[in-house]
Amino acid sequence: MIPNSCSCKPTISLLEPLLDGALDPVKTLEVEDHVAACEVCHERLALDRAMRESLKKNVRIQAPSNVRDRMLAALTAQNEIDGEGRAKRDRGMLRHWRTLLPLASAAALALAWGSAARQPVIQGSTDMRAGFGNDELLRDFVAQHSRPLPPEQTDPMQVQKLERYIGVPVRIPHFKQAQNAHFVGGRLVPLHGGERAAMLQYELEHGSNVQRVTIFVYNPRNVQVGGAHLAPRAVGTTEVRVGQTDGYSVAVTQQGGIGYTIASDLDPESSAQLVAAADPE
Amino acid sequence: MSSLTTEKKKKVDGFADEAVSHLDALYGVACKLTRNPAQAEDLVQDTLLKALRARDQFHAGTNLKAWLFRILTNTFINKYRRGGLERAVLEGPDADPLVDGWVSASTMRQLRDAEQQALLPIVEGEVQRALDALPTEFKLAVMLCDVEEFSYEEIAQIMGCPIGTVMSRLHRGRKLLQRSLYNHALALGIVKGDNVAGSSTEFMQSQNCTNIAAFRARKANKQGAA
Repeated sequence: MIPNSCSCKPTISLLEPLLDGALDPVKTLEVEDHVAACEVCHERLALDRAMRESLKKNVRIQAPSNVRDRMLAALTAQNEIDGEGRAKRDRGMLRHWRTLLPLASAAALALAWGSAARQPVIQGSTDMRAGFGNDELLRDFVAQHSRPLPPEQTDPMQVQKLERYIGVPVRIPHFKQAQNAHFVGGRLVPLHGGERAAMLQYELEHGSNVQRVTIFVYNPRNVQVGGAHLAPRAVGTTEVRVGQTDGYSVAVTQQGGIGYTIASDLDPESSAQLVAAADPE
Repeated sequence: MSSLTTEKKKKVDGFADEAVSHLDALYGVACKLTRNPAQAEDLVQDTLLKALRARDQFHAGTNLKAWLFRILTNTFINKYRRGGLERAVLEGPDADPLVDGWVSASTMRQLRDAEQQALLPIVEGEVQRALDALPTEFKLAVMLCDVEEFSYEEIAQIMGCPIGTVMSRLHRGRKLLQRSLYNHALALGIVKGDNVAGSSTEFMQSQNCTNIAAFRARKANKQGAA
């Protein structure tokens, strides 16, 4: 069927404004009358609507939780700077999040620790972070750390063979900066959704005092650790998210396509340092 | 004094809070503009920080989302586009506005049906590809209107151009998207070509001949049928 351009012509240019809600009520009625009577214009409108639906599906995405965390940290840092009247001096370095990150994480860390010590550093900021992310997995890891199952393997060579169950290489970190750390053993731990992680257990001896450190190794494409309350920070060139979950310090990072989460009895700073050194490569 | 400071802090946090509530919208559009998640992150962060620093210039009660998108647009143009790049595209043959009577009602219905039913993934993939391929001015206008549902006036403010320009960019952008979709659907045999007399047929044929993918697909179809 050839479109009847004679009677459609005055209407065609009004079809898009109609869908855009840009016509006044009188014009809207006129155009709707024509559309009801004209098959071609009816289809034009329907196709246009379908197209918009596709576009919406296509463009509307949820920002990943790590992006959200980064933005919040950046805004918090900026607020801090403004609050201390240093805006001018620091403006030049606020161009990229990469350069901003240490600054932002310092502020965010202060926030996390501040609230732990019941001294909120920035008012209202807890509201700002409410409702983001899912911490179930992190709690799972902490639970595994706090009530550990005995290791299945104590030979590092055998533990490395867990690779085939979790889908990424399991390298056993030797923490050079913590010489008193010794590897206890490792085992496979099942996670929600049929995924698995390798759990590596360490002990740090300070005289008679023994502190435990547990490292979880997993494929970050299948296992996404939430932890929206963790503060992003840079340790060397590694981005680490640090904080506390259920009373234990946790640190999460990703290196060379392998995900690492540490749950430990140590302070958050030490956990951050350890997890950043997790990949021996 | 200290209550004054607290008051100010609350105001600042409220602003950041509200700005972050538009994060998904900003990020989605930024991803389409930059076509690179890392650059999109930088762009959104630049936008939010600029907004926070310039929050005194924002008039309470006006549309914060539109203001954020204006900052995002300006930042994108200043930082990621050194101008002129797309002028050739805008002035090239692709910029010709399509004749509005380009296909028949039944073909449009086929396209729409495909969009609603079994071929949805294919059609939506093509919509995505076509959107990515749009010149930035068209892409941005279409996203601001069709996805974010800003008014013409708001889009004009965001893009810094007259309302007439917004309407023409929208119209041309949408027609380009529909034409891509049509060509793709035709090549895949989702729709049958129209035997519409006159210039639009010639136009469609010349389009198909220049589209190597469509040519190959049709050739494969013919061989399969023989």
